[in-house]
Amino acid sequence: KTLRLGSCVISTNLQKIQSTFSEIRDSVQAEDRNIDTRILSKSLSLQDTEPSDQCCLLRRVLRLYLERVFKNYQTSDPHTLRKISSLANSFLTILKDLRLCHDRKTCHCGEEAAEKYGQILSHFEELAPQAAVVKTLGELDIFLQWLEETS
Amino acid sequence: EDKPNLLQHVRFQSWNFENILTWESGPDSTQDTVYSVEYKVYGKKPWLAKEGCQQITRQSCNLTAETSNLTELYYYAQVTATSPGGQTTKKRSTRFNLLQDTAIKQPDVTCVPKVSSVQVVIHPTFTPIRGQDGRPQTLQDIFQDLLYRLQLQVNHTYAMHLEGKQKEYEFFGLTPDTEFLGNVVIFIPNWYKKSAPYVCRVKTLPDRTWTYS
Amino acid sequence: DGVAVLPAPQNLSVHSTNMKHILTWSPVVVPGQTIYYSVQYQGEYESLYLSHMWIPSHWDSPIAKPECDVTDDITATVWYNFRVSATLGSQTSAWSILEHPFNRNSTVLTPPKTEVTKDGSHMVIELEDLGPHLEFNVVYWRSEPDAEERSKLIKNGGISVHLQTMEPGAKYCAKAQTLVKAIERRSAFSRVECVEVEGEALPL
Repeated sequence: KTLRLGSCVISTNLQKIQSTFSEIRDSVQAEDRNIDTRILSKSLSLQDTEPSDQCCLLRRVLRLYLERVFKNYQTSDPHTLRKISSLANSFLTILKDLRLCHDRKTCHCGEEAAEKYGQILSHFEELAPQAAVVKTLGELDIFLQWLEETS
Repeated sequence: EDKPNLLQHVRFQSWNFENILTWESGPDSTQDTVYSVEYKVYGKKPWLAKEGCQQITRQSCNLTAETSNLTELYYYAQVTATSPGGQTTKKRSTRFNLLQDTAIKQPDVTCVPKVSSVQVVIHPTFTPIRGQDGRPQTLQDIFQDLLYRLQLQVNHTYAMHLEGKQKEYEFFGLTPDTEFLGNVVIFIPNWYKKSAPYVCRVKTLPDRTWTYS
Repeated sequence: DGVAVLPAPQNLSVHSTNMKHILTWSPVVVPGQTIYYSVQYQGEYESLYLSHMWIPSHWDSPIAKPECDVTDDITATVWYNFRVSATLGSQTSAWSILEHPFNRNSTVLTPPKTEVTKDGSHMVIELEDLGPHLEFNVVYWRSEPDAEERSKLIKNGGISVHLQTMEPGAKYCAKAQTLVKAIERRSAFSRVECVEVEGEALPL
């Protein structure tokens, strides 16, 4: 799958990530007690972001997952642990590809990216830490849908 | 006081965006237990009562109209079961992802045998989902990467394969007056979706052309 | 109290061919006893963000042989570390860690074995089944000057696939290579195989 983020173009295996997440989706989403709110709101979506800002927004959301979600999600189930590891290492691969765009100056951080990521972060930080981790992980299919529509 | 278990396995079952909520009676339910259904968009507050599925005795409810908005892809439903004595059990579905959780029915296909070929015509599959212009959407309108995979089993050893987005295909170079087994599948790569196969058994026509030597 | 008396397994290494990755090590030998081994892994993510965390290989139960198929543990194109420990009764050895991390993009890709046959005027190819991670690019042409090469992507091996309908009196050839999208690599081509349809070429 080719993701076109402005002038940054990378390829990634969304199907594989999608099918990995689907194995733990129901159990993770069942832990989300507060279904009246949503962290990755529709108005903040990647596909409705200025192409020139898409790469930067994607990088920041990936780092949110890597640094604050996968890292802090607690599970004792080995199967879930393996799936989380697979997702995290796949996200790391995408982030490394985006770093190449950043090095080539094709991953500009404009106002829109900063504004949207700021809102995502404030939604995240409004919740108790573990609740935020569980909700954001449960919204991974929303994030993948964003990537799908950006490709 | 022990809570009665009047209800279990509340879940969405979806085929080509026809979204049906189903559930099963619980160990404590009786013939007179009634059920009421509510639904909501994930991330929004209100639970909305589903008209036509209040105080019903059947164990399914068609939520297609309420859950067919391609801009609001994530839904929940919940069922409240009430026993004649007024006791209740409320259970919620898992989060329903409209695009991911709908299964694809087998395609609508016509196989047309000829003398040395078999033509395959695939008819569009319409869904309950309407576009912004109000027109019913086909699966192809919704899934841009949808493609068809066709296979014609020639004999027990090998098969011919065709694949594409168009609606008409033809397998050429076949032996006249011979039986073949055709198989057509809808494949949506992005969502890892594959329909049940449409299978047709066809026999090529006898070759009645006269050869003058 | 299970103090590490047992020696740790040595010489860990990963052998990877066609996206099948096998971790091997030198066996720990205690005469007359069966030694069991536990395998754990760490992806590049874990080594960067959660360095204390090691994940049990999907072969949860201890292994009696000094090798482990870690194909299903390696699900991204990043560096992976592995460690193995030996167990005998209540004794457990220290962990032994793979000297150099492994990345699946270093897997050895071999061309598939092929068999090109004909059924009447139909050209058919059968490809070796090399597992779920591999696809095949088959290139085929009519053997004549300035022949146009055509190619067909075949998703899995082990089945016979029709390539084209042939004309009498002409020779047709094919070759195949292994493709792995996940690491964006392909193998060398297999040797060329040809078939010919008897009879005279049709008048123009």
